[in-house]
Amino acid sequence: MNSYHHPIISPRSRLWFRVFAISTYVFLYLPVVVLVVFSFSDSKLLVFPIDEFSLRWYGVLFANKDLQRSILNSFIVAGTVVPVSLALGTPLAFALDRFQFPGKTVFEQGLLIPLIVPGLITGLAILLVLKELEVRLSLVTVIIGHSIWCLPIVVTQVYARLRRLDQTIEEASMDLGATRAQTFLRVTLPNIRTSLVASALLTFTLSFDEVPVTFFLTGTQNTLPMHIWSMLREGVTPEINAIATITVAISIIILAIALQLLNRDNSARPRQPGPVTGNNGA
Amino acid sequence: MDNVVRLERVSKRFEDFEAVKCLSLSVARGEFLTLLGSSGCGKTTTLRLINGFELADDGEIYIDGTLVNATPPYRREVNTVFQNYALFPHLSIFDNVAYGLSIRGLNKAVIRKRVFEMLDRVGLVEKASSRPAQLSGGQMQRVALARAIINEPRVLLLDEPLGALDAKLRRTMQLELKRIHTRLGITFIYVTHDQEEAFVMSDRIAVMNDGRLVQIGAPTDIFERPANAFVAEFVGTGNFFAAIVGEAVGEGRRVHFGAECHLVATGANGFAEGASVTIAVRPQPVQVLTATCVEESENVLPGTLKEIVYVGAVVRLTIDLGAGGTIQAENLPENLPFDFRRLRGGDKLWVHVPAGSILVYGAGA
Amino acid sequence: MSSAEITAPASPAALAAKAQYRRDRILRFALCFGPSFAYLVVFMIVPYLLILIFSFWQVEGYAIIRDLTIGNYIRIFENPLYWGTVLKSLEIAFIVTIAANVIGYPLAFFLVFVAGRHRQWLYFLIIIPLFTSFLLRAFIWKTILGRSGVVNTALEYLGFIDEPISLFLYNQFSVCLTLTYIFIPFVTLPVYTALEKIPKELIEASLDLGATPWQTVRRVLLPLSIPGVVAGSIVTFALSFGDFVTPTLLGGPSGIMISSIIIGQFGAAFDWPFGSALAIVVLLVVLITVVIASKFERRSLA
Repeated sequence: MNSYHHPIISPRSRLWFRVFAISTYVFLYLPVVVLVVFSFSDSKLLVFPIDEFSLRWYGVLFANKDLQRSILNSFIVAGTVVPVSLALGTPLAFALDRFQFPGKTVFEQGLLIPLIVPGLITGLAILLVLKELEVRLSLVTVIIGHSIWCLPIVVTQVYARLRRLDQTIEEASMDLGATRAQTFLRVTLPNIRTSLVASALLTFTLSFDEVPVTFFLTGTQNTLPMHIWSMLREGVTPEINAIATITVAISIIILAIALQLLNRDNSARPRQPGPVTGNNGA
Repeated sequence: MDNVVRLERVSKRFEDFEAVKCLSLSVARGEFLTLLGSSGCGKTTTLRLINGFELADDGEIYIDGTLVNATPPYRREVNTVFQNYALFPHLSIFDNVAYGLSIRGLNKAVIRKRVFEMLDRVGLVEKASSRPAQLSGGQMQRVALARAIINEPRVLLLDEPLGALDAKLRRTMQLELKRIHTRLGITFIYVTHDQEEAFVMSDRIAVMNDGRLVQIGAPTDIFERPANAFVAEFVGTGNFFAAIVGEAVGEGRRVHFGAECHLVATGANGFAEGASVTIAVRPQPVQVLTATCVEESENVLPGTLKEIVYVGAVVRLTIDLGAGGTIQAENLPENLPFDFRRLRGGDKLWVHVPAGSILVYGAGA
Repeated sequence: MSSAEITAPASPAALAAKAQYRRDRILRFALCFGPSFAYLVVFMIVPYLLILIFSFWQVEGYAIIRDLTIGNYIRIFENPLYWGTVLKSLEIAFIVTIAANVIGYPLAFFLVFVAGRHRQWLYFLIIIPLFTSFLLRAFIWKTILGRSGVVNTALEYLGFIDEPISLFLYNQFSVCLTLTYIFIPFVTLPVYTALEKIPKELIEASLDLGATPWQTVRRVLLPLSIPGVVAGSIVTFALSFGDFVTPTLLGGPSGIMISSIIIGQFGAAFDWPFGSALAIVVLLVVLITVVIASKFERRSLA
């Protein structure tokens, strides 16, 4: 990371930029900070100034059985969506990289639709199919909905990585006696490992927070976002601050890990830091 | 000849580019054969037809007498040293070299023993747990070699493996490879565009051009009796002239080139009078003479000195023959019957071209 | 010699090997592509098609009549409630996209050219919001803007006002503000990527040739960063347009967006075909926007 100062910015502009950037970061993070701070406030109302500090709301949180169950459900869902998306997305990315077939470009574009289209519509669409087939809504249907939404993310990431892969090592592997299947497992996968892990982390986090698709496909079992949603509809309760704080903390940790992995993968190449989030399309 | 690899009328085309055209080639067991040619001549494609990464459009490929057209690369008993080494970046050097053995499912202890033996042979034991990224080019090359040889293939293919090394290291490695070849007795098929490299290492050289095999033979054969003008030029023969065959004189025939130059060439005997030919002479047999030592003879031509370059071991002289063009001579200083340092541009000189050193090719050869 | 090569039949061994290879290749493709594709057909292609089909059906009482008709679409365009809401949602999405760009683009610029050695952790700070719950980020603003929220209580405490103002919440303003807040990183990231890719030498060359910094920005940086702007804007526009979380939490009656109406159709109103028609309209709007945006991008790059 160089500290090259582009001559394009005059010192005076530089100052304005700094001011602007600081204000923006404050705008972005002040609400979060406020939230976190208030999660430790003893009062039921989010009033300013804070009289007492306590962990009261965390206590309420941990005592709430329904909440705990919904957290568990979210883990179950996200935990299943990840392997499903990887298992479906990786061979697809491989097929796109190695084979030509009629309609390939259309398919590539079409695959991105769930990313761009409002989740509401994707959720509705799948709901219609499930109703026609008379399938009952449950966590399984939620998992299916999430996987459709997460599949393009996995495919995009893995495909991008596959294209950068030096295929001569696969030839070397086959030259030394490994079949294509063995080569895929022993040479290809290890070398695209970081894209798999990054996709997994990305998928997990996005699935954990997902709202629109889940909204239509939830049965009797709630996921965490659904639970929070119903809590929010009733009004603002302070436990939510506590949830938010914890969620933010966990997201930061997972994100830091994902970025580290991707940086290590890219350290040999000059590239920008950070993942290309699936939301930005291909 | 006991052939370990045989190609019969093999062709391969990519889209509308014919990379290999009806190529027939036999490789003797244990020999060091080099496929020599410039880029695009089809030598790498030929190699890939042998190791199975290209599928022949026509013709048959045999390894040890077995037809292998339909055999995938992982079932051919052939191993390759790739141009960019293709070492597995996610594995240690040990695991890289052990790969082929581990695929075969050999016992761990056996693998360990053999890998360390091999690493010892290439002098890389202390790098066993390093990763390829930590090695130098020369070291990676040795690992690639070890990784291939350890499987005891019937044939070892090498695709321009020394291209990325600096000149000095390349020369060392050439000799090293030759030594390994002699010691192991495995058949080597080597691909390069470097004529000198081919000459240093090979038992036989197959010169390729435009997808075809142009000439195959021992290095001396190729060098002294190039089959056509292309090969002649490839192996360093300079001095090409378009000529017309004249009458018989002595043991050869006269060949006329330029406006009024003529030489007698024994190589012209196979041609009729009036035939259009190309003649070629290597710079080395061309002897430069000054007025004091010249003798009148059929094959002595007068000219003026155009350029003289002293390259340490040899002296390169370019003599202007007037309307005949220029001729290059490369002589050892001690063989010159005069002090070359006294020469100046424009000096009158004579060149003697021995009748037997003139290569004659039909037009279009 | 070449004519003999063409007319002679190719070696049977070679042809057999090629045929075998082709068969194997197709098999391998089917293995890779097949299962995933089947899954996509069942859970993505068919569903979207089904929405399309449903949009042409109608409902009577609680029964769905499966005769094709464009009645739903007519209703949408006749009734100002519906197409008005579509337009309002478009307007909101538009405002949000512009606002997110106004803040997001300079921020990306800052990261690339001014941040220097702080770039990496500042970049990290921009990414974090993307991965924290959308829901919670919307919730934050509800907390802050509400009658007993931070803004009001702070203003009261500081003595600027006597009574809480309800102006801040439950209207178009709060929706736009929240959405902008959420989508700033969505714009900043791709713009950052695009700006970062621009070779230093290009900028130096421009300055070297006599262009002022502002001209360099306008003629070199701006055009080259357009793909990033387009990418971020498409995502922002599409997701804002179709969002229902924010308007439901913060919109109130005047901040209603088309997505809420769609949900209503699937809930109490039980007019699934009509809801599907509305969904198709939303889908079309989004797709058309994407197409226009990519055409614009292609033309500006030419």
